[in-house]
Amino acid sequence: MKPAAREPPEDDTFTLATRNFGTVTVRRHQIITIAPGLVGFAKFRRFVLIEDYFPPPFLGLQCLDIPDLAFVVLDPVYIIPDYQLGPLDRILADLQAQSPEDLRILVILTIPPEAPRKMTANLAAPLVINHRNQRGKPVVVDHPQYSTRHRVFPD
Amino acid sequence: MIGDDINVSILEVRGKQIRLGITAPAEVVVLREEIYRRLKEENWQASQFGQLDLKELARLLNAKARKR
Repeated sequence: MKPAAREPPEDDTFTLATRNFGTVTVRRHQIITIAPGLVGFAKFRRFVLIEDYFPPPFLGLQCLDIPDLAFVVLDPVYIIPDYQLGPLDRILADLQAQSPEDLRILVILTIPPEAPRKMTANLAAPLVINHRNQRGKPVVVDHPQYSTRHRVFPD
Repeated sequence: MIGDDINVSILEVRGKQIRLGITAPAEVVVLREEIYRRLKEENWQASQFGQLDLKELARLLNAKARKR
């Protein structure tokens, strides 16, 4: 009889050389699985939040399937204090979340490298993550005030 | 049906307009084409951020959040 394969320990780590954040050390329990993937990048599903590269509240979102793919993300409450996802039933069910408190909402920022102050946030298509099981999915929010290019710092 | 688990039904026909209902598993994205294109373009742009200094902008956001 063959010995059973040993499961890797919960916190074993690996490193990834990324384009934007240098060499990143990832613990397996930090890996977020986004299914379906982001529109236009649907094949790439494993990500990790980079908390220590940008000054908070900005966060990096690094894809583990393709080291060149990364985003800058932000909790939308910094833009719209009472940001609402709309009906939560489907989102909670899809992410196997028990309560809205399990959900972490992030919006993707588009930042012109030469003029970061002109950054826009995609309020219409946030990424919602269940921080208890690290499952995430992009959600399209139907709200007249939430555009895909919301200026974070209006002129 | 499309495959085993995607269901397309006509909800309503009103003059020249048809309302479609699409039921699909959670891992399938169902979007109107113009929204799909806009999100794809936006996500692509967002992935091209290069080297950034966000210190001052982070300070502004934190100051705004503290005032509330």
